[in-house]
Amino acid sequence: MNVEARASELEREGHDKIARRTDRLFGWLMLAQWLFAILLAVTITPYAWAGSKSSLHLHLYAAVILGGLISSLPWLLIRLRPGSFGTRVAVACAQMLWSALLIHLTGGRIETHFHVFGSLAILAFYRDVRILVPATVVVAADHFIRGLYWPESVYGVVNPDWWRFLEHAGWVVFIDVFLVMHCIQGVEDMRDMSRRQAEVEALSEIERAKSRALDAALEHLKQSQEALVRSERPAAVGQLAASVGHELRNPLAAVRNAHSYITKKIETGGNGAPSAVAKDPRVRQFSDIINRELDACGKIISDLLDFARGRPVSRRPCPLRPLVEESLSIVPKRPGILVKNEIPADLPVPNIDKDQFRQVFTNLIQNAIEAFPSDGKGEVIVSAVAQAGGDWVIRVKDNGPGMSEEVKNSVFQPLYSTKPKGTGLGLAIVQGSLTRHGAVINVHSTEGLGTEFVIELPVYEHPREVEGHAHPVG
Amino acid sequence: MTKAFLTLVAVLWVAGIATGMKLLFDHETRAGEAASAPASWPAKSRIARSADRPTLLMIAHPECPCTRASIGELANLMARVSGLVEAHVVFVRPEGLPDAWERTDLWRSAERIPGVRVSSDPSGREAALFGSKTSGEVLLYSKAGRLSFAGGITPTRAHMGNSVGRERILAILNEGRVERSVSAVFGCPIWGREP
Repeated sequence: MNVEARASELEREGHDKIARRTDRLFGWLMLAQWLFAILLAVTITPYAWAGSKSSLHLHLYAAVILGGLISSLPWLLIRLRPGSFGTRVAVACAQMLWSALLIHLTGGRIETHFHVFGSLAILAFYRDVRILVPATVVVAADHFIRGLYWPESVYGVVNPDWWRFLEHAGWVVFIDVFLVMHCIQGVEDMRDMSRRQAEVEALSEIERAKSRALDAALEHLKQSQEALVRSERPAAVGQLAASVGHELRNPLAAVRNAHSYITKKIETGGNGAPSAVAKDPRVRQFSDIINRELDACGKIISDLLDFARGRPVSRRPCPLRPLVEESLSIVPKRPGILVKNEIPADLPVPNIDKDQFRQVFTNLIQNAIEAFPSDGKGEVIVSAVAQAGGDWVIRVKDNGPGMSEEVKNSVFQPLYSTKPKGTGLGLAIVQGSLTRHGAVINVHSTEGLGTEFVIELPVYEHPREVEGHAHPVG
Repeated sequence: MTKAFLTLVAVLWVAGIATGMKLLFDHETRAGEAASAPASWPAKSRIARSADRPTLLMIAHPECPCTRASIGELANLMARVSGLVEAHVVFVRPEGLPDAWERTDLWRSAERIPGVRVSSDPSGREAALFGSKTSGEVLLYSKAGRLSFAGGITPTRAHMGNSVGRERILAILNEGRVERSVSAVFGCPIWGREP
């Protein structure tokens, strides 16, 4: 809405507000005048007398009935149509009729004639010059009619000049002129105020738009910064992982060789017979611990190097169902956790790096199993569908405890883990491998209901075929 | 509520008010019965007539609310003819009513007018002598005791303001006119008929 239209709207609202407020004022004034008229009649002219007999004075009836009638239409319209022009006209006419009635009830006291001018001034509260017309007409008509039929009651002489009613009405017009000026000035003031307010609102809207743009820019900056951090973090972690993995791999190999030699010597005793040390059960137990922990270290180093190296994708057709079976054979089983491979055997075969996708399935399935509590029960389902466009949608879903929003948002970050002994690289490796395949992975999780990883794997188009040959290779 | 209904209500409102105003107007302009005042000051009157200036007599009902305007106009009149006339206001006390019944606020208002003598008229003896029938009627007798004016000094019932009666009295007193003059009188009946 432009400033002009808004200013007009505000001006209309302002007029309506003033009209309704003044309507309410006159509603109370009508009541006050009615009560005052009754009070006047009761105190000044309660009875008419004839000798020693009295009866209720006509003024009392006039105050109660005629006064109530005069106020009734304004009351009705103020209630039914507040703020309307018709209501204002009725109020203006009624108010001037009240002047006439009060003048009657007070015996034509000159002081009561000021009620006419006071009423006109109060009517000016509406800031509507139009209603001064019916008000003035009512006063002029009252004088004209009474001057016509009983001139003495108005002018004090029997045969006044015909224009005498204009003399009385002229003084009303005199005050009208200044009230009209006041109303016009009030309307102009309101118009100016409306325009200023509309301009302020427009400026405020511009400021708000700027503020929103600034907020958006800040948000964009924040997201860019976070993206930068996210893009830099894997690189930094990758460099660290490559360095650590490389530095640890050789010493670990030396430790493994040394342990293998010592174990062999203990078992053979140096001359082919088991030594006495070998007979100690705790020696074998500790030797197994060393082996197990060396395997764990080897796994960590392998993860670090997988994450760091970012091996290039070597694609070839690879059916998904057998690949998942291979992964299931690698992942340690957990009692109570059932893993189902629901990938259809006839699913179209994608072109993927088999080793990397095996790693993807292994990590996702192992994560899902480990998400369950140690004594928990549930199932992990791996499924996949080929879409009409040729893309694949692969799902790994569990009904485990699910993730919080915070965990869900951080789950692909390198070195982020909720497991006591996790490296925090499993899902980062998954995301890296899928990204190199042009695939996207999303996670949906609800606490208490489970988690679902969804992989969208696009059709791979060989570069030569993209250049002009027809058949995309899945 | 439809516009037609509101228009009908407005028409009825105007008609009702016009009717009410008409009734009020008729009431206020309906003159009371004029006095059959004697042409000469009655000899049996106990009110002392002045021999050196005209005597003005107002016969009033002490409870008549319309007479408040007549008393007010008498005050205006007396302010303009001070010393030219001897004025009396006689408050009628109908038969059977207790003493001092007539000492109302109208009595006190009349007492406050300079140059006016206020008196009581038990059983309306003086009112009967002067043939007065309506409260607020003013009779003006010349210093020779001849009736020169009879009528009211308000423009309508219970309504102050310029009136024919007041103007004629002023003309008689200020300009020395002697012709007999009358005007309508507005007020409550002094005797026992319903107003």
